Amino acid sequence: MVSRQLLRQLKDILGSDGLLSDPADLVGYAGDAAGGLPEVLPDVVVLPTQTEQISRILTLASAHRVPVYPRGAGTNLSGGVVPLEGGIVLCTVRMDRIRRLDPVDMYAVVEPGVVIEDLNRRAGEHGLLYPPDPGSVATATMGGSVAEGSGGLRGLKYGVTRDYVLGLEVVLADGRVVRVGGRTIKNVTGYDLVRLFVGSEGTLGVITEITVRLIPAPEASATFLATFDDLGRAGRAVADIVGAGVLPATLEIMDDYTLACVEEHAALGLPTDAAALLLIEVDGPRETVEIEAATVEEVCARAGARSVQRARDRAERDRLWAARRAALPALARRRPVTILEDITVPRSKVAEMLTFIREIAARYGLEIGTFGHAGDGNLHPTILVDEIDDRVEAAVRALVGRALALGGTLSGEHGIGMAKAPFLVEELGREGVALTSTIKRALDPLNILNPGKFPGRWRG
Amino acid sequence: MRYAGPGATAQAERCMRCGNCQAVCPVYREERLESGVARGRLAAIRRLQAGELEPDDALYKRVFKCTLCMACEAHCPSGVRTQTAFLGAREALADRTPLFKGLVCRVLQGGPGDTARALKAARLVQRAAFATLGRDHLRPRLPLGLFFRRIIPQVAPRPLTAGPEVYRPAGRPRARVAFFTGCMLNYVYARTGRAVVQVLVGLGFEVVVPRGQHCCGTPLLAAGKTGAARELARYNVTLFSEVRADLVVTACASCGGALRHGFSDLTGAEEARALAEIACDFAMLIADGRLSTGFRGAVTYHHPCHLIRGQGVSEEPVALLEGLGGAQYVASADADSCCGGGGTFSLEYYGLARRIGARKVSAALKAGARALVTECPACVMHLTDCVHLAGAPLEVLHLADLLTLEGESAGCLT
Repeated sequence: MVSRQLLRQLKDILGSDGLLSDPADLVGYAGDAAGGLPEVLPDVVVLPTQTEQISRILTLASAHRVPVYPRGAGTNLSGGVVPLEGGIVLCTVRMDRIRRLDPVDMYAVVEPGVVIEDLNRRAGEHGLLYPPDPGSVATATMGGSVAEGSGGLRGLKYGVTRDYVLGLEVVLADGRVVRVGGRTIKNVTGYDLVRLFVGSEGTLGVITEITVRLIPAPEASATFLATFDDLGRAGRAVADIVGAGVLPATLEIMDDYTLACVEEHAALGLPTDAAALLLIEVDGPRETVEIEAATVEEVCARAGARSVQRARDRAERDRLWAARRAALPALARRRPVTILEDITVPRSKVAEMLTFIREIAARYGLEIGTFGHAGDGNLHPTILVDEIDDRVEAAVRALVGRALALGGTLSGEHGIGMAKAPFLVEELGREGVALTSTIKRALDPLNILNPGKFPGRWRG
Repeated sequence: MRYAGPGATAQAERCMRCGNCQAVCPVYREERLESGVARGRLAAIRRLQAGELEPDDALYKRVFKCTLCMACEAHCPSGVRTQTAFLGAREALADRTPLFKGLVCRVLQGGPGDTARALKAARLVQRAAFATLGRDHLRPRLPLGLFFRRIIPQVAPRPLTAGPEVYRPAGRPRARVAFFTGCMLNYVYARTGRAVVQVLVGLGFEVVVPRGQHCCGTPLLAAGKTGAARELARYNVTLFSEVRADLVVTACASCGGALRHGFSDLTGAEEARALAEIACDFAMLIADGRLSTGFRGAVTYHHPCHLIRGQGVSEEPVALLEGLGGAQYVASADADSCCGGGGTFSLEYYGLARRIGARKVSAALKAGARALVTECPACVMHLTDCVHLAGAPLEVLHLADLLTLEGESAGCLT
């Protein structure tokens, strides 16, 4: 698909160090962190270091009608960066400078390859914080997380990636470079093009610079681990904590199946006969944290928690967090194929959704462990199988259907990519998909940007 | 052999593709290539096994451009034993070994006599082509290109094993300790080897330096020459089993790893397991001694990969430096990340090895250290080169050298 002439032209732009075409290199770019999806080798991988190079690459790709698949660190969980039709993988990890960090106006300007945690390390030097924290903060890039509209563990109190992006520089499919948004909190000039590109999953343009808002880092925090004998009670505790006026920075849930897997894998001393576990963290000014901590303890006890444990120091906090961090790896090692769902429901429906997931597991004879961000209703039912079969498809369909019926969404933070493309119409409706396609055609008339994904044709 | 083998493939299959290894891989930090980090390398191993990739020179480069620092293995949420996978892949590609590395392997395989003769010849070449730099190092007389500007250690005039075989302390010995010197402390940094003996004897140990001991085989294993490494393991196991020592001490992280795990993994022999039981790292052995140094100023520590991750030793050397009379210990950032030496890695990918090492040097300087102390002669060699090229006011010292440095206070053992 990539002709010899195009390869030569790309080499002229990037030099031999910035271009990979050997199969031994290409195999590393055939997939991402999503399980159970096809892998496809690209024809070539390019690693630009400047916006101008990306502009020239896209101009060339348009002229040659060759697909371009933008990619960051490849940690996404929906197959969003799989180069389905071959062509060019455009990897932005080498654009990794923090161009500016303004502690007075509290914003940062970064290149797309900056790792989220590296930005936070720099922000921390000024007592500032960039709150979005997907599980992959230590590896995921800013470009990738903006393109995917990532969420994370602080969603309930602090919001998600899209709530922090103030401005972007984007290279369009034909190579034109545009700047959208700005650096101020308030900005209603024109359409909200920033939000159009946030979560566009590489289908509308290549993000080459990002301006994000920073906030003062909270002074103190308190962390709790609560166990429950009953899933419903845990669900009630989630609603009651928020109902009592406390917005925890983190409010995570883990079901009994996940808990047993975590304990087997990491031996953290968790009660394996408990039905659910909540990880709760409140943060803010020291006095406020103490008041909120007392409320959390009281609400959990009233909701019928079997135990509520508070971390006394940093080491204990790390121990409590270890259970949550181990959830996905502990589940993933049970079976060869891990299908990680990302359904999201209103907080008041979390308990109902959890119960429904149990029913589905029983109905289809599947092993499903569920963990997730109960505070914002974002759950990760994780189906563990030897290979994907009809039962899996039916279960996923049922889960998505129920999430939508409960007023939720099929993806809270992982994106549509390949994994969720078949369900897009169920949530957006035909008119919604048609509007999406209109926008796509307007920005990428030749369909060279991440083709085969949403709103396109991929159908498992 | 064409494929990576069932053990390697089984590990590669366990990878859940999360990419967490990117956060800790020293090679990825420099290159930002998927093929240069565990996730991508494991993908290549699966494809090799499936017959979808050729075991060609391109793949050789992806598989061997790795310092085997084990940071990915320590960090992997799925518990993939990447070292097993990578060594399996190296075995499959061993017939692609470049000439110079093959030569090194041949010399090590040849037995202690061959190695001693080869290094004697190397010393003659060194004396002709290099000028001395400091106590133990050399710089090329004709610095052509980057590689030929590098600082290398001088082959010692006499290997350590040519000296006495038994060293006795004054008074009744606390224990009889066999010293597995390894090639570097025997043939190259023999002075450091003697410092190890001196410290141990000073602390009341009887030290045996068995003659005829030979390379631990780590360089061969890393080159994919598993069979040859197994031969060396058997040879050393037999030799050291006959010494009848209470403990076997190592002051080289890689040799220590071989004694603690490698020999018994390779041979499966009961004697090898018995040796592993009594194998002990130098810093651990002297941890309870009252020690001081002639060095004046701040010192920081570099954790050798094969010590911290290979043997799980991390607290003892730091505690020792903290309690050391004379010097002040300062912590430096990323003290547990690889220095980029990686044995023959720094020969094959010198530019990359230097970039990795440069980070260690600047971290040590930033911490305010005047000496960078470590416990592996291979790290000492590579870091010395990096410090010299950076023109940094920093000394690189093996722990044993630090302890025997003569300073204002007479004697290092108080």
